[in-house]
Amino acid sequence: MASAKEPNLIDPIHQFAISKLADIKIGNIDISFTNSSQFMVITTIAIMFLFMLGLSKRSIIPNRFQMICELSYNFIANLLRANVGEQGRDYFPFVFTLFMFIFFCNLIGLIPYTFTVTSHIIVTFAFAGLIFIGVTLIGFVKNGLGYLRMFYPKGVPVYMAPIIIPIEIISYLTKPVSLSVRLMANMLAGHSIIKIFAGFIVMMGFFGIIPLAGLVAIYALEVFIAFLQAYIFTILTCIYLNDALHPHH
Amino acid sequence: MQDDEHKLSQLNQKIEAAKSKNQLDNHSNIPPSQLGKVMKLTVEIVAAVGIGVGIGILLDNFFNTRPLFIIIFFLLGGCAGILNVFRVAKSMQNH
Repeated sequence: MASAKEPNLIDPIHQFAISKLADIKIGNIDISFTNSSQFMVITTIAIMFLFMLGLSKRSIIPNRFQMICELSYNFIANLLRANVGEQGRDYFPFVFTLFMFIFFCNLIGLIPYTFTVTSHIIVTFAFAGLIFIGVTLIGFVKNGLGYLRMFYPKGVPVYMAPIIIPIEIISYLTKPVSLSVRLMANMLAGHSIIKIFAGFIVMMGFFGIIPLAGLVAIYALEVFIAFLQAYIFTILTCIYLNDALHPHH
Repeated sequence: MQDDEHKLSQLNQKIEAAKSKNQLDNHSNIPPSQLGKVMKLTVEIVAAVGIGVGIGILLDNFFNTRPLFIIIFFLLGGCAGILNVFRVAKSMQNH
């Protein structure tokens, strides 16, 4: 009823619209500065600000900001050690940057009137695709052509090879797709649900207090999911890295 | 000065004690939710079929043999999806 009067009251997808803030073109390629780029810049500045604030003093007994920095460092360092081993140390800067960026993108997207960078498949797929190409290159550099052996598992009879090898290759190519779709779908679904519930509050008037209570719970869940998805993305990166470094396990 | 060092060594002891306590809890990582598990498996199978069909379409456009390779790679993609689901489920069981 209320939605008939105001057809645009609930428009859960509108928040994901990309708008150009500044038109930039090089040749025929459109590289305009959009609201998505704007929030990537904000995310980067927020992370840099946090770490500059936290690591400027370097006291033995840390204050709160230094604690945040050290905890996140330890968290990722332990994750790498557990999943990749000591060799994973070389890739720490990349994995740490990846985790912080995705986590902050997810968190900043939860603030009202902001834009969620990670809710677009092209952003997450760019991450996952780059990781996939990088990990494949690392695999070939570290193992040479022996890396190809993982497409043909041990103990498989030769006459099965024409079927097994394409299946293994498809299964390998699936990695970046499932990685990026998972992050994007979680962000998209979560933010849409929040928007829909928020619409219910307005529609139901006084009884809107019921969806409001639900919304508070969902919001808390979303904060957890923001962390969880960044964590899953990072841990899967570590696992792929481990597969590239030690393919025989 | 002497006092400070004493304090520091005490602090170190406290940190060590806290660390050894933490080590016990640390192994139980974040438990994945049921919905997360379902989501993971679904995405896995859909992505594999999608990739398979994509490869099929590319090959068909290249050799002009539509729909031969689409059918072959659709089936292979399905197999790869089930293989992926099998592997993910196996790793879930181990945890």
